[in-house]
Amino acid sequence: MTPNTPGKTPGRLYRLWDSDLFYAFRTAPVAIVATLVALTIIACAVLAPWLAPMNPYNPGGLNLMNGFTPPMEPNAFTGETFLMGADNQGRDMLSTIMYGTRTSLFVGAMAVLFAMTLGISIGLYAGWRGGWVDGALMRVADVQLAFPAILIALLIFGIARGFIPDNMRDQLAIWVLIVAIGLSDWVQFARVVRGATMVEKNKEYVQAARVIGAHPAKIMFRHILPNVMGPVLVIATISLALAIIAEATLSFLGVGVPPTQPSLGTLIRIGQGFLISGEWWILLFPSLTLLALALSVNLLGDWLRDALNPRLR
Amino acid sequence: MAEPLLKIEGLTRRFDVSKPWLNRVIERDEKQFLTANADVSFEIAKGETFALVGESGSGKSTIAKMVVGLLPPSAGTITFAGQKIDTGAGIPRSLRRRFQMIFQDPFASLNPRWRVGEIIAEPIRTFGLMNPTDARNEAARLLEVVGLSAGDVNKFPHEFSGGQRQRIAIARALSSKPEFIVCDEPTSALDVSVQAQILNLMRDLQDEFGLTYLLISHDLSVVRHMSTRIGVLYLGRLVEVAQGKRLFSEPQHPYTRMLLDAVPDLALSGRRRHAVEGEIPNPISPPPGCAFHPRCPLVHDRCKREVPQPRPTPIGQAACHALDRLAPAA
Repeated sequence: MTPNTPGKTPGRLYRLWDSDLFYAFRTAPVAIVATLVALTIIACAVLAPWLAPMNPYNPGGLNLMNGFTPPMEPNAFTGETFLMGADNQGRDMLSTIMYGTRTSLFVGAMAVLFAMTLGISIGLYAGWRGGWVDGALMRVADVQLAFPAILIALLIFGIARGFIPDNMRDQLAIWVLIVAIGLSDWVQFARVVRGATMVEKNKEYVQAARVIGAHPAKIMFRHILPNVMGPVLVIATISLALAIIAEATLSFLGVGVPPTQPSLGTLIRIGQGFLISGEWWILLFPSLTLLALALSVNLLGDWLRDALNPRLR
Repeated sequence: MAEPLLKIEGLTRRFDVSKPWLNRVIERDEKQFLTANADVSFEIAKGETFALVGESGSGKSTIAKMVVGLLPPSAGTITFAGQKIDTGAGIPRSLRRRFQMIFQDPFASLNPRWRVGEIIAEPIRTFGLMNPTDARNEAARLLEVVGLSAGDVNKFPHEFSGGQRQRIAIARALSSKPEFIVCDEPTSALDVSVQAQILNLMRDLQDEFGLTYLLISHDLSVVRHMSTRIGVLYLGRLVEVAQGKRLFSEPQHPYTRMLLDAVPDLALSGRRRHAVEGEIPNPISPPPGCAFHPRCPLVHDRCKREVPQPRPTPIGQAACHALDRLAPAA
């Protein structure tokens, strides 16, 4: 701010608090609860190495005698008690879930980031160029949309596995998974961004930038992108829930992350084998976590969509 | 007249309004073109305000867009300060810096996500005229020049009214220190009470910085207030060019007369106003000969066959066959 001006300019935090969006948030109980649930799960996952009672992937810290300990009951041999029980190898379920959520969230968030970057770039370019470039890109998107996303992810995953040498597989598996989920999800971003770009590019502020000869990339990313970010954020939130579920599905099918780094999906796959024999906690708690995470993120996305839609205000 | 700052020769713009290729093949349609401008020629001298007036759809804004390089012309040339503006080949930066544009809608012409300071400094940064700190100070100074306060650099466009936004747009146009500004209906989105303020500001800035304006407007009172010379457009063609004040007292072309007759009269003199008769024809299939002939009170056979060429009049030039008949040129 220039020193010679009276009056104050409100700070960023105040403007956030004062914004319409935040007002809508403060008055929506569902959004507040969903945010709290999602933030709690995310915090537990991110801080797992410091919060979890044990490191479930350190074989030295495991005691096989603890296997199949039910929740809240002391183990008959060791006397140890686990809040959510222990699995077949004596791992504390709470810790496995915290570490598993960490993997799930990482894969989901990276996949959405990847899909978002790709989708935004393609959408901006298609909307800006128009004509046959736009037509070609959008037909590719249409074709991809005709296939179920999980099928595309499986296909990409399978192809990628064929190209990666055996000894690299486990290291790269998680990245392959991210790319596979991301590639199956970019279409929504591209479509929304393209549509919004076609509206924005005819506005006079874009023409003003063109008159002074601003570079098209600068116009696309500095001028148009900030004005189309609203719907993109909504899709990103909903996509995060979908990506987490897609990752869980793939891992449940056994094609996702390697067993050395189990995600929620892997835990559910392991757990369903013990359901018949009565060890319900090994399946139930990872499933509930996945449900709570996906539901809260989804509700948040729904709320964001309504809050940002001027027609519903 | 010395070397004109802007010289436009034979400027023509056609838009392809055909149906998609597949429809054309099936329905056996020809390609269709809309002629927005046909063979427009005029010159603007340094320090002048040249106004283009005409009804909606007469191609005023298309000319403005072609002059600043937003649209490539279909034919004809635009020469600015002796250099040809060639949109296809890219306009050199040194030339771009010397002209600017002010837009019609101040609610659309400022990026809502940018701070006012950034908006005004954008041309400075794009042309690399100053370092970022100087550019910020310059933005604050320009805000004061256009009658706002220097502290407004940190605000967002939505915190301002229409007139204030147009002042910001003017500050942005001034920031690259241009010689020539194209003003596309700069006041038509504003309240009448604010219009005069903006117009006076534009005149003051013209005196202060030695600007040349190309003013696009459909509002004859704005044009009368601002212009040194006026061009009247009808269906994409320039029908009359005349010195500012005299166009209003002695209009030559029948279309100009019709326009002036239709202007509401605030003095309540009791003069009968004549509404403009008829509608502007469809520019996809304009009438043959003089495009104005279906509405013209002076129409005769020749008008339906031959496109009139501009000829000199006491106050400028006009394109009308009737002028030949009434006062045959020597």
